Amino acid sequence: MADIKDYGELYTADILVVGGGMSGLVTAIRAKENDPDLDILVIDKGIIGWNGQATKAGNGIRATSKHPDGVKNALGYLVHAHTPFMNDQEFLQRYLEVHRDNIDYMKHCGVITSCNENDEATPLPFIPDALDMGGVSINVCAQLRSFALKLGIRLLSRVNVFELLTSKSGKVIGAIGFDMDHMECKIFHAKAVAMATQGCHFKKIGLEFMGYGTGVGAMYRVGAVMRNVEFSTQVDVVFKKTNTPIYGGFNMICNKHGENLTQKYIGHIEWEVTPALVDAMVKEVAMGNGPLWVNLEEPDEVRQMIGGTDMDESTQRMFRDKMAWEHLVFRKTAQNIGDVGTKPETTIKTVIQVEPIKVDTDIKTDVEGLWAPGKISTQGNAYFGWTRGDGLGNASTTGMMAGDSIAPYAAKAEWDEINLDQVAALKEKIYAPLNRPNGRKPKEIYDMIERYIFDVNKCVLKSEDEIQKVYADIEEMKKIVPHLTADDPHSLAKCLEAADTILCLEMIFRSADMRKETRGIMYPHYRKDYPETDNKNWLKWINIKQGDNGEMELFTEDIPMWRYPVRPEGYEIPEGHVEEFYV
Amino acid sequence: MMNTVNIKINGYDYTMKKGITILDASFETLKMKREYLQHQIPTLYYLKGVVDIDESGVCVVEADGEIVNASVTRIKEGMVIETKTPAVMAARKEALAKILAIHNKSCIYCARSTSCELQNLLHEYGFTNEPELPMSKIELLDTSSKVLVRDNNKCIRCKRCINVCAKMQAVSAIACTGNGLDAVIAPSSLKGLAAASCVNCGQCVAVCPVGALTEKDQTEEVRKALADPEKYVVVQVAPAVRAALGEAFEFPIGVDVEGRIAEALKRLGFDKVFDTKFGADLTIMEEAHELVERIQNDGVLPMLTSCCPGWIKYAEHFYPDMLDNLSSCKSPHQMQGAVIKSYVAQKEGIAKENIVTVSVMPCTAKKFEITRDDENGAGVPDVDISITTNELAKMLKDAEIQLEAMNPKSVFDNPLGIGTGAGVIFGATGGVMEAALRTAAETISGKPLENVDFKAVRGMNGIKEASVDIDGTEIKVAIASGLANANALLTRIKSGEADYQFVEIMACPGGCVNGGGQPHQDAKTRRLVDVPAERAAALYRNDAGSSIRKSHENPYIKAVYEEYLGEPGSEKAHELLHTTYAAR
Repeated sequence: MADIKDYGELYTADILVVGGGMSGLVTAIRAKENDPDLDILVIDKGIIGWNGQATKAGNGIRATSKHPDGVKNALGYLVHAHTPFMNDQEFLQRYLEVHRDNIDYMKHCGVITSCNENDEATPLPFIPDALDMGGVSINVCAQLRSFALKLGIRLLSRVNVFELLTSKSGKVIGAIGFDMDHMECKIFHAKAVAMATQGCHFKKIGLEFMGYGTGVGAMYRVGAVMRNVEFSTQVDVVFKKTNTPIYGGFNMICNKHGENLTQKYIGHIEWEVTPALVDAMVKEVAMGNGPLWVNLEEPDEVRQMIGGTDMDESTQRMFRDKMAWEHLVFRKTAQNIGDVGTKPETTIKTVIQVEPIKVDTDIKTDVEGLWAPGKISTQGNAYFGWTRGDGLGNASTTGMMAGDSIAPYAAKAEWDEINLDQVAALKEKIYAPLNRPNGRKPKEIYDMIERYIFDVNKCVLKSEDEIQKVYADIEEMKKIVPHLTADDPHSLAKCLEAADTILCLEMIFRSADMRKETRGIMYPHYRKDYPETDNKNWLKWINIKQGDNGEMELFTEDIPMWRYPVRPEGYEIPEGHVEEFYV
Repeated sequence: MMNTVNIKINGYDYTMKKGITILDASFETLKMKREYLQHQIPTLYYLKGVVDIDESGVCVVEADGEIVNASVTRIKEGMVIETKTPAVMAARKEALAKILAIHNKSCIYCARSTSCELQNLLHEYGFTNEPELPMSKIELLDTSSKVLVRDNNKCIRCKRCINVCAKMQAVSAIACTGNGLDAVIAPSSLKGLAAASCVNCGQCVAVCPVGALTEKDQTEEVRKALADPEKYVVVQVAPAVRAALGEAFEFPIGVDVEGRIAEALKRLGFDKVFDTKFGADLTIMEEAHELVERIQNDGVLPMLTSCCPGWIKYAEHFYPDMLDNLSSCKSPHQMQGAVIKSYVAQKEGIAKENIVTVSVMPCTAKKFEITRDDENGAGVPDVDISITTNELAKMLKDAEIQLEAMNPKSVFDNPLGIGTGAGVIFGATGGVMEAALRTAAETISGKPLENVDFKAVRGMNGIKEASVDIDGTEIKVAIASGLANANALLTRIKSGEADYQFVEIMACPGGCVNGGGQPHQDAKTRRLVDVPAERAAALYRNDAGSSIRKSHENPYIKAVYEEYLGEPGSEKAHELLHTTYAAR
């Protein structure tokens, strides 16, 4: 009789939290505070407390304003910002209610936040009467780690998981992976699992966080539903020499004649990098008006706001930190490749950001026993488009929501038996790259992504033709996957990550293909062949899940605007539905 | 007269108490809630209560345009202080370079690496490629002691060890001649530390900012025993270890990691994982019995506790005339070792010669204690190897066992894995007294004790006195921690100024929680946090959460007496659990 221990070291816990960044830690802390009897294990591929995107954040945390209409105002703002009307407003409503407690809860957890001498939190209005922002220590994860240890939560560092284990009924009951030092197989058995793994965050821009989408892949394979994946490409204006962003530099782009592109093509200042601006840059270069450069001698309004002095002390200090960071980048750039000067050559670069898990108002996915707190589920529900403080605010809020719901679930849940055949099959799949002689390297795939996919015409200004080309590129990349070879834990992880990054790419372009309209800025879905926003036909979500035959399945779902408070101008309730929103 | 002065630090205004030093003022800013109002000044020699003036040269700032020593210069009205000007940074770097020139930089082999105050400063100030010490200059290690290793090649002449040994411990086993970086720090005996009157308390190890003083590493012996299939390796963990081991794994100070230790030790491969709380309960049974007997039969009073091997050696050196006052009880881990090698050996059917008992202690002096005469109740040594909390942390890290991943609800093995709340508070000053009173009170009165919390004997004061009324009998007790305090208390007892029935003495200030084998905390932490008090609080929380809080109610203690020992104070108990002392 085979024993689970023949396959790897077994860890059991009532709740398994995969990902020890900010949202994972908050989920664990909140669940433990709900029910101190629960045995909660948090795992991470890095060192918990010093890992995760929050440790690279801009030291601000967003919270809903405590103004009586705070939730309503914030909802109105967020539904219109970035990717209009694609939110689940019922989710967002609940999210914003919890979001209000962010700063207070962080203080409760021993995190240093901006405060006055009486130790009262001092949030600053970000969007007046809608969204506030508090300063927060850059060591937020280390402080949460301390608090988690005080509560008796278990933290296991340097373990990388790639697949989820399921029971006969399809409930998620654990995970499998290996440790990053010795590549020994680790198996986790739990009553409930929270995947706080961050999404696929494949970058070409310097100073950004890197993620590969292994969490997205693992959840996709157990049947989780993904949503809004077409809004997954972010662009920024960067120094051509270093790929590092020129924060707030997008309104200062000039062609070789010194003409400002914002003035020439748009006529008003932009608050984010828009497809229109990208389109303008492409046109100028095509006309032979390159190279493009940024005129840092005449900072625009956005930049002046960042460097300005008419703000209170703490906001300024926060921005000063950011600018000091940028200063450091300038200095490093100068050291490495000579002085960039005040008229550096510029270009645009892309980040692929797939965080699409669909969750309900308890951060629970469509799969039994599986939660998805943190960035990984934001695109699927709340809102997208990140500005200062959003990442930490989201991590904290979704962590609180998930913790409140996963704790009572795990307390009541029964232990489901692990299927040893499944463990054997997944283990074989995970370790397969070790047993392939003279194979291919994952770097080939990453090079192809950078060469083929990071192209404005594919990533930003999409069209039917270009999407078809991407399909061909993806097929080519997929052919490499069965030949990927590894010989240590790090190259093994890279092989598995490459496969999931390809999966995320495929999801983006399959859904971009389906959505025949244009919508949003910053994380835009822009179709050259359908350049208008079409609220008549496309107030729809595109959902993705793995079909029964293993193929990717896409299906649309009408956004239930008739239940939502914030609607587009001129919206009419479609036939077959009645007004369901009552204030 | 105004009692405050206004100063400016790095451009921010502060109102501070008159007469404090600039360094004190910087520590005051560190208590402020707003991070940008906090200004840290580096220190290397300074340690609260041990070394007041930091002459390392790193503790400098610019005050009114002059570079001054922040631990010497006092603030005055209108003073403008800058902590990070180029001139200040250059002065600190120069001072560090001088210290580096005499410091053996073999960091990768050093036990103090990562918790070294010098190393942390070097990381901050960015030193690279410093030349090694020339071979001609390398001095021999002093390995004469069974417990401590002194490496003069790493000494940075801070004199913390000298001060702690003389001022807080009244021992003066280490002395100093010469000045500045040319000073020679050496044991008071030319033959090395072992020949000096060193009591092995390890407080010098605890305060040393670098790795110049360390406990003798015995982890290799433990590993060998674990690898030997012939040996049945049993480990026991002292109460105070659970309140501090977490610090070596980045836990906050004062978190109780009892369950996590149990699981970690099982993963290390020990055959049995026991809790010294049990030994502590056994000690209470014997000691309370001895106390009651002495009181009722006009025995020698006051009775002095004997759990602390640092104190025992101190008494043998400095109070040879009071050895009769010492309780004859062995310390808890020795008692537990004796029971393991007799009762447990018999129960499990294992030859006592094949059992290896390992103690994990907050204490360096236990390494000496296990080699004393008359500590072999079952005919073999009670305890074979004693390692410190730091050594356990090292073993766990070497085995890549993450303490933070262990389950806090894991439990120790039976029968010697169950201890009471009375056992766990042994780790804090006053804890032995309180545990003994809980049992003695019920023994004397024959009635159940309603309130088990004797709050008068708790707290971090060096000397505590209380008078406890037990069923009409007044028992006068005193508690001293830190040997200088013990010295003061004993002087008063000898002169007849004070008369007590029962006195608890612990060598380390604050008790075992502040033992010499506990994880190192740097000067800034020790200034801002009362480290021993935080650790003690964890033990008192453990006690308050225990279902059984009196030693004599421990079911396994009852079983050991019923099945094996008979009565407390019986002949068998004396053979196994009691010892003798000799003047040195």
